[in-house]
Amino acid sequence: MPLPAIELQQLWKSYDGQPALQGLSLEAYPSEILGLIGPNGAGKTTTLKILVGLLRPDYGIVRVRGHDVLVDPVAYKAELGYMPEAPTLPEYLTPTEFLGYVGRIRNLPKDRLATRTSDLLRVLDLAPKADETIASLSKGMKAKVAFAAAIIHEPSILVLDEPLIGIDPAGQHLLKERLATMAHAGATVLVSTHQLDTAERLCRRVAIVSHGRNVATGDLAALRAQAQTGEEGSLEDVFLRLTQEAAAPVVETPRRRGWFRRG
Amino acid sequence: MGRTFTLFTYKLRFFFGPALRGRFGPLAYLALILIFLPSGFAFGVTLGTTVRDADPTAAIDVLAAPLAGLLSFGLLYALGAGVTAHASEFDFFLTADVRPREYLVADLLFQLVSLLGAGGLSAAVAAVGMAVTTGRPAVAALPLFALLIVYTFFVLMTSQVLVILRVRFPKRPVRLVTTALLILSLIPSASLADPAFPIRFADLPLPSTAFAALGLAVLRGTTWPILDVLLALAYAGGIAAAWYALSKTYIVHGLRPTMSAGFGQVDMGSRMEIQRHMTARLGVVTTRVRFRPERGGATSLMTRLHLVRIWRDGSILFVALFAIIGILSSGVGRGGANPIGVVAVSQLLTFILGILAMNWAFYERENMWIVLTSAQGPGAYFRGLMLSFALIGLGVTGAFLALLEATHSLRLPIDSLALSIASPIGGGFVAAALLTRIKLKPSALSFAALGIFFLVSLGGILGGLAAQAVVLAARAIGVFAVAAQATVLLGFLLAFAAFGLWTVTRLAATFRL
Repeated sequence: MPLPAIELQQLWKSYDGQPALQGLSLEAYPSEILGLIGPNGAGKTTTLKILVGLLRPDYGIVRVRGHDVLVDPVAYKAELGYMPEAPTLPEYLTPTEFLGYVGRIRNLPKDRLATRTSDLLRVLDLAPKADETIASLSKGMKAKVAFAAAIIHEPSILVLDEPLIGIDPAGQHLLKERLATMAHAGATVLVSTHQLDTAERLCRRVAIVSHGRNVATGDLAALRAQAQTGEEGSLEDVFLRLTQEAAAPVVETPRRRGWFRRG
Repeated sequence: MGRTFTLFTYKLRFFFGPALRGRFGPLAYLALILIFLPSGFAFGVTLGTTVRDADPTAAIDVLAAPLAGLLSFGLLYALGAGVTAHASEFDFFLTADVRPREYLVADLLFQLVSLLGAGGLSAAVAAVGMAVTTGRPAVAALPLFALLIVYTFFVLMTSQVLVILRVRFPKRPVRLVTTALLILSLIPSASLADPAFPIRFADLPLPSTAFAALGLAVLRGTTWPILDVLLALAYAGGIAAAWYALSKTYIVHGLRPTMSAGFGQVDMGSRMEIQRHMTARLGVVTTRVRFRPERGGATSLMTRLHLVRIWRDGSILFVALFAIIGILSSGVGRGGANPIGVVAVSQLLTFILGILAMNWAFYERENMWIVLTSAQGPGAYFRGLMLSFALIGLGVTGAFLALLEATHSLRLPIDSLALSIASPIGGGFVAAALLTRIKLKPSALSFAALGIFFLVSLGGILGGLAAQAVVLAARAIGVFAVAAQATVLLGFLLAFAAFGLWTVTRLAATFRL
């Protein structure tokens, strides 16, 4: 087994005293698409936001390619691509301008910006809208623009929060193909989704999150075995069984960990 | 009547309730009301002084202009919504057997009361200022204020009538007529900027002219001119009759939710929708100015990004409008411009930066995830924000100074110039610095929102005063040549901007979304 590209250990996070994560641990490896599924409020988005540096955990360790991201919270982001759930975009820019802007921020060489941008717009069927403001695009098209922005710098780690919401079936197919290609080329893709059939078909492994904890991780066979649903059990059956079993734990939150030092 | 009152109180509670709830809600509301009292009084004194010294025709022109402004706001409102309605009213009240007139009366009362609640005290203080300045007892402000209320009611009714007509006759050019009325009501205002302009309020039988003539009679203690009394009655009676006849019309299908947030609140959802709509509509024209991400360094990239944003999201319209109001109020064209007035206007223009800063905090801040999830820090982003604000401020100030030069051949002394030029830099600096720290929530009126607005302006004033002090100090130690003083000023401005950029970069390093 190679070293994990993403390693989360004992993550704790609460909002105004309400626990969101309660000791969540997770590992994702190169060349795999790891699905993160769980009920509403399970802590999926919080986990992803901690991973991409938009939130800091109260306690726990986050490692990307072996580097503790709480020690150096910036450098690792060069390898990271992120697409948030319901992304807010600068609506006043055109897709071409926006992708160029993100490319600059992501340190893509200036002479590659135009080619990379037009390639992505063409592949994602956005070329006809390339020079209209994002404000005039449909919800699905905006999602595609956000996806393009997440992969413009060809990241080796891709973090996607509900990436398929609002995208038409053809667009979903396109995105899933793209993700599979990236994973095949060695990238690590961590994708949070509510679409269990998508997770079942797209992801090599799935982590089921409930009440801020990872209650099970593995391929469908391993999850079936853990949930004791039998060989015919679908991911939905497994999901329902495991999330119902995972009652809300009553445990004491560890002390808050400093941003630059180990807890 | 019972249901009308219920509808009225629902609207009132919805609108003012959030501002008055919370720990500091009433205080913030009170602060906002009190903040505008001095400017209300100053406005009244200015009007009163002008009216006192002017001949009757010019005095009517001066008094009619703000009334025409009020009417134009009403007409503008009629082009858009015209009737205030919250989404919940559509779901629960307008699906009940509420008669249109019941709803319209409640809306009229609500609009009048909320206008008085928000600006009534300032208007009353302005009326006192006018009365006292023209040598009348303060009690003369009462009939003046009463006239204003009647006029406001007339404007609100006009607005409703136009909305009903628009819904009742969807194929008739009601919007076109409304636009024509809007232009007609504003055209005579040009005579304030240029006395030679041939169309004046006093020459036209407009409602604003009639009410202005009555107001002038109150201020001068003369009898009310019968013709103007009849004209005012004809307008008020005519619109009331039209409203009565039309208010039976079913208009629910032609209304849309417009009241999405209470006083001082920002409903992000609907405001973003408006912003998005505006950006998409304007995009056909505004995308002709391209954003070139492949050019320039990081700070240049971000500066251009912010300028493109302001250009495309409709903020530029606000900047232009505010600049025109500020410049016209300086008396350009009437011979009233002087270095002190120029300095006051330059400071007024820093309010533009305060509002742009609030706009960023409400609408653009959430796009910071793009920068924060990259390996670049947000330093360049905030440096770009500061520079874009400073450039906009300098652009407006430059246009103002150029206009002064063209119309008055007024050349400012270099210390006044220092204040005018340094203010936008100071305002931009304070705005960018504050925005690295303050996060506005779309909740009830907050001190943070007011703080951004006023601190940015204060930062502009202090920056300007510092520049002025440097020039005066240079003069005090014997630097008399204008070129030498200009060199000193340039050096200060560069050092000031560099200090601002350095500080903003340091603050941005610890920015949290």
